[in-house]
Amino acid sequence: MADIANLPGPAARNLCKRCKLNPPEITMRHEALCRDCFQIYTRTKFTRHMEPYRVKKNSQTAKKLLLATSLGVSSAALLDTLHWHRALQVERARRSEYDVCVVHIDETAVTGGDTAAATTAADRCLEKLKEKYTQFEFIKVPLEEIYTIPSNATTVEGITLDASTSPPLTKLRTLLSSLNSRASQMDLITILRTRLLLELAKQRGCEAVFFADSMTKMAATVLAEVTKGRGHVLPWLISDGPTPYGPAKIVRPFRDLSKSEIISHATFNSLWPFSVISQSTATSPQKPPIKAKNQTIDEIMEKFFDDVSNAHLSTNVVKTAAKLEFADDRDRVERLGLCEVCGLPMDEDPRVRKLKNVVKVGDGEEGSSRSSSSSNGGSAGDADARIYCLEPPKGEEGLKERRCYGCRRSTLGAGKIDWPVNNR
Amino acid sequence: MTSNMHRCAICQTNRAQVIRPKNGQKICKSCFLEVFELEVHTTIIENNIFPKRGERVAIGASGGKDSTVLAATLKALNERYDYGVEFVLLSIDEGIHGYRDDSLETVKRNAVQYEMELCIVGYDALYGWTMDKVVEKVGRKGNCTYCGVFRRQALDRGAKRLNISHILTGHNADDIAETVLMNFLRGDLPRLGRCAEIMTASATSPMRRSKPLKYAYEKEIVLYAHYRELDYFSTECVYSPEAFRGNARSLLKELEKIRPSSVLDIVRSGEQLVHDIISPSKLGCEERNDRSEERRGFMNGSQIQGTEPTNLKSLPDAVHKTAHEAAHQATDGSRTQTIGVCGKCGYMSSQPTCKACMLVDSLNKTEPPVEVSLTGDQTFH
Repeated sequence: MADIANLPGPAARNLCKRCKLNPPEITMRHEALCRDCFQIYTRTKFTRHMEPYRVKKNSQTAKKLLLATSLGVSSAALLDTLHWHRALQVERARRSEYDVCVVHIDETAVTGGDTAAATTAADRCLEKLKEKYTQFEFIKVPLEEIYTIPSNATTVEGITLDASTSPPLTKLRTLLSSLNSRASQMDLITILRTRLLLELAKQRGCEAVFFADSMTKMAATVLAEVTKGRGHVLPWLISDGPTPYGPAKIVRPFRDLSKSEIISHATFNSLWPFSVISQSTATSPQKPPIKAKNQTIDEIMEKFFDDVSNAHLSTNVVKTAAKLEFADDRDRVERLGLCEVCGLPMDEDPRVRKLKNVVKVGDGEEGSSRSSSSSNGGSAGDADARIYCLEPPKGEEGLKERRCYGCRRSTLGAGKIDWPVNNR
Repeated sequence: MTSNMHRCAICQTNRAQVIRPKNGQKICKSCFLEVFELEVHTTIIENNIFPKRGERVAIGASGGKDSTVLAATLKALNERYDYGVEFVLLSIDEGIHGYRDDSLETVKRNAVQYEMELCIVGYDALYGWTMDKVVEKVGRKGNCTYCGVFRRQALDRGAKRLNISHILTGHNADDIAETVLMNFLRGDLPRLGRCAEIMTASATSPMRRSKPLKYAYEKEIVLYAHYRELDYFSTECVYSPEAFRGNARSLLKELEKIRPSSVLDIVRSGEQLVHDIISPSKLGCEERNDRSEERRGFMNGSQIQGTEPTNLKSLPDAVHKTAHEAAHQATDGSRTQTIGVCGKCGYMSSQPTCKACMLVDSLNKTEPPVEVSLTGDQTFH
């Protein structure tokens, strides 16, 4: 009889697959887990990216980290997880390896909608966060502040003098209103946001900027950037580590978690009140409709990955993109420099670039005959106009030497732009 | 009194009738035809697609809009710019009743209209199976795999029979953009690195393949066919749901709505991924298909050693191969993958048996065996 009692009864099937103690609450990658085991899982995925921020014996001063928060649910989850991680360090080692400064970039002045309501919601949310996470510093910085960051380089060609006297918000609005679609506006806003965060990190001596991007979000980013014609800088856009923008590194500790996993994590930890997004909007399949024409490329991609709800598709996309490595990056930066808008390595006509690489790698027996027939230098650039229908704006024929394909696409028809940040 | 808005943006004289899908430019019919042809010409010249005068080149012709437009455009351009090449239409008869038999009639008319020689290669004669029979056997799911593998080889064989080493296909910009997206979604790094190439010569095929319509939008092709009143067959393949491509396709259509250049931009991005030289240490991935088959291939002693890539374009492939070798040497001992010939049909293959023969074998398992013949039937016009 005792033997029978020891056998796992039918009830065992209704227990968490890992701890076999609690009833399962979530099915995660074909495993039914309880809340605690799921928490261990998400935190393990997070901790894997925290290796450089473990307590080390001989570290003198605490490192400073900048945490970017959109006040979305992933941001709330990352903030909470960082808080847990740091508290654990304090508990175990009586000190922590790092301090966190949480930054919210306020874009309400330029992204449209009900500005006052959005601002109030953001402020209320920030207040709640401040109350809950007392060890962290919180700041809110308006996006237009990018125009007041002291520039370390000379002015870019084309900046008119009177433009520099107008207030930052006016400059930002002028820039955005010169773009031909909301897709282009949001593209440049994303670039400006990243650059502002990196500048703030530099100002405050932070050694890394943390983003709460999930695997799902990153997959959308990969395909969105491919769609914008930025295939040539894909590794720069999605890999963690140094950027050409400044000394701080980029870290995305949630890059191995899917969006639905993060949402479950937030639900289990009751983090929804600490986000401006309500649980019902985030989890309902029907998103509020945006006018089809006004959607951005990123929004379409995010919706695509929400709809397919097939986690391995986003894993495939991110892992594949992460494997891309451009051996000629350094060479291109030396020869062509960085794009004046996105600040990433410039691109070059695919055929010219290919020729260079192939000849360099192979013996190039056919290379010489080919290079004579294919166009080089000046005429090759015109292929952008002839083949890709990307005509240079009037009087700006040299633009393709300063601005990459994707940024020229996003600023198509904008004429001269007053771009706030310069490259080193 | 008519405002400029209705004037063609290029010639400024005629009434604008067409909105150019690529950039929204409003142009007239004759300017559209001219721009379209000029773009194909530019693509041909800048990529040196016809390096030799006097060459005979095959156009893979299905009777559909893409290949019909390709044949019509090339005929016009060859006359206008004197490429000095001779075009031959090469059609594959997959044996799909109600689809291919009708479209082949179109191709036959095209051959007369464009004064081109026509060669039809049938799956039936090559493999002993028509697609109708294949579908009867394997069902509708996965039958595209058979058709794809068979077609690739059938095109090569047809071209070989015509003594031609260069095949042109009607792939358009939309096709390529879809493939780029699909290869990301499938996580297929090696294919991602070459799917946007205009010209390919892979180690497993002796043929050069080019896509002169690579930068042409599907919409432009339809428009061109319409304005030139081309005779083409517009029915979809009766067996082709291809759900995965359908996903990518609808995504692309949505993107095109908000930024019409998206299709070209994806092609451009794809081209930038083409020739990245991936360091062996980063190559954790296998070719998508047949991991085990590949391994079996490594054991085959009958392979020709040291097949050198004959074309520069195949070099990135060679880099992949070396990396694969390295990876396998670590686990399997000293095995190398080289290109040999299929033990059954003599076609080029990296395995002891080529993919087509393996598929035919699997089909034949319960059927009386059929020899894969090298000759097949042929129809010349």
